[in-house]
Amino acid sequence: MKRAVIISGILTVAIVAAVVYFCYDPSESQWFPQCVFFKFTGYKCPGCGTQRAIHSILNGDFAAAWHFNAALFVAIPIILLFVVAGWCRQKVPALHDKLNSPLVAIIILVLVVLWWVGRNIVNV
Amino acid sequence: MQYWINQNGTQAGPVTREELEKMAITANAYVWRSGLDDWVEITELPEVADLVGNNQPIVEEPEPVAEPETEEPIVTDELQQGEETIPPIPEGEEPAAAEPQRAYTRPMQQLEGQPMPECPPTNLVWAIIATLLCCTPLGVVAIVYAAMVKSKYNQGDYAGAKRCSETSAWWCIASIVLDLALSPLVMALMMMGS
Repeated sequence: MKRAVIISGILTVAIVAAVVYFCYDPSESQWFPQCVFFKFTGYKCPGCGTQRAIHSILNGDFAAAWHFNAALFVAIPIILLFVVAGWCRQKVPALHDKLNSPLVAIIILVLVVLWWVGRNIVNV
Repeated sequence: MQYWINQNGTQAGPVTREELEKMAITANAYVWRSGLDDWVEITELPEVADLVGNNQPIVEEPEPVAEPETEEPIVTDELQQGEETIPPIPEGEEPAAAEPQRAYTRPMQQLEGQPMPECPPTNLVWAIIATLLCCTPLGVVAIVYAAMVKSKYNQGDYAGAKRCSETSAWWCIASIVLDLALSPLVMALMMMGS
């Protein structure tokens, strides 16, 4: 019951967000949240460009999305894999266990930090 | 009835209620027995909640002189408590009878799956989402705690795993909340600047 409420809540937010990001371009509107880290430090954060990238993906412009935030292309399959593993936890517990192992989390942590530092050096 | 107890990161079990009565138990201990979905704080399990604070001074007192004096009351105490709590035990006799063989063959530190409950959620997905959607570095902290959940769990430290799970969830939430709170501020600053 509680689980159903949470899932439907998340779905509702996701659908509303998808419609908003499909219709409005964050780079042309000033009503979308701005990156606090970028404003204060001048350096890009790991998530910079995600809003513009989501807008581009929803409108089918994958090249522009890649340009705005390439990490999203790596993250989306990983997130989907986690969601599927969560659904199939009873049937395939091994997949869920492997994905939630410390090793996977550390690899993701290293990738995030590398992406964070790297994108500011190469400016992508 | 067999119990597992986790206190300050140290786990013991299976133990009977009589054995629990001899342990020094504090209110921050977690217990589990078959029939429970998850570990609970000892104070939430009525059948053993009365054991909190038991034996505390006796265990910490190293003076041998006090022992003979205090031992007698403890024994009678145990007997009384044992007699009082016998009634609820028969209910759980069936699962308890099926369990010992499985449980006793397991080394304490490798309680995976059963009898240890499922690993608490690592919240790793949420940490990834928070990192990529929010602009504060807090999502990264959530990833660190997500990594610690499973390693604590694998060490048999269920209470520690649960703490890390909750901590990683809170960092994700903090990341989103801080973002939503700071964004309007930045927007206002930009408008003032331009």
